[in-house]
Amino acid sequence: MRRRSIEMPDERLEAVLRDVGAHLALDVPATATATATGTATERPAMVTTVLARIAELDNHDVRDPAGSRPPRRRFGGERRRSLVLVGAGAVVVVALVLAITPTRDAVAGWFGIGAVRITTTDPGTPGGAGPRAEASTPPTLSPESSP
Amino acid sequence: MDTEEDLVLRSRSGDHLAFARLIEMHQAAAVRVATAVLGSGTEADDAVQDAFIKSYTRLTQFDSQRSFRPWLLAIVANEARNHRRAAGRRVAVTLRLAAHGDGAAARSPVGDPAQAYDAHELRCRVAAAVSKLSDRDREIVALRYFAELSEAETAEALGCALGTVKSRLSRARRRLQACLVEEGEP
Repeated sequence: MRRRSIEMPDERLEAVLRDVGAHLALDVPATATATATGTATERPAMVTTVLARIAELDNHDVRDPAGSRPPRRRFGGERRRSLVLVGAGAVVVVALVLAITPTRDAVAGWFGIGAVRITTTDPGTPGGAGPRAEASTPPTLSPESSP
Repeated sequence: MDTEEDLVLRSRSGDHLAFARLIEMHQAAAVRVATAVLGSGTEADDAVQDAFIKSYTRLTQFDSQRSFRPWLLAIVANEARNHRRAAGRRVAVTLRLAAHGDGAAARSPVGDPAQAYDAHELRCRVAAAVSKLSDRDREIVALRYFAELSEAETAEALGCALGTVKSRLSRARRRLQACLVEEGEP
């Protein structure tokens, strides 16, 4: 038999969804437990189980109550030891980098180019990078000189 | 009578009975949310147990100015997701309803047996449609409708904006409607 399709407004669907939630099968068996006052009450099994596990946690002092101080660590506690190791490692890495810093020529070689050299030469030196001698020394005429 | 805030404060200072009271207050909602994520079965109960223990160990992080329920249900949903992931496979989720005429169903105000039957059938079909939703959609539907959080509380539990919750809910309802209509088509 084919089921008929259901169309309903949003408000109705919301109400049905709440209804579905209320009717979900929840297996919550109850267990008898003694309270602090000594009277036996019915508690859901989950409460009992959770409380038992919490009691175990409290025994192992895993819980972190508000304002509690962390347990004192001896010098060389795990956290501190790992910080020291990380610091020492960093120093070694820096030392290695400084020791094997490549030369400019080597770096240029990695990129397949020649290193750029900047040289200083005296102005006027033939073949030098300075201004040409002719340009820097204007011609002078001596009155004694004759053609 | 103890308020929820008192119970939280007492639980923080190590009062197990106060925490037991908190569990009792929120257990049903927590199991519903976990069931929606994991499907009916013992797996949901395990996830809820783990979530309660986690919430106990994290009580110091809880802001007592806020509502406890969304905070707790966020942990429950997260734990249920972890359990689902740990299962390592995409298990189809099945939502099982209480047998007709027992538990919550028995307290239904519907008097006429025919009407009660129709209501039960409708619930079964809607539950089946919810099972077909994506994990994300099922989670938000569970928080909003199964656990009856307000939209603001749902946003708090999911850690997103109110507008996001509204649009995600609207999309989830549209998909549900589509499922229910599709089911009846030849």
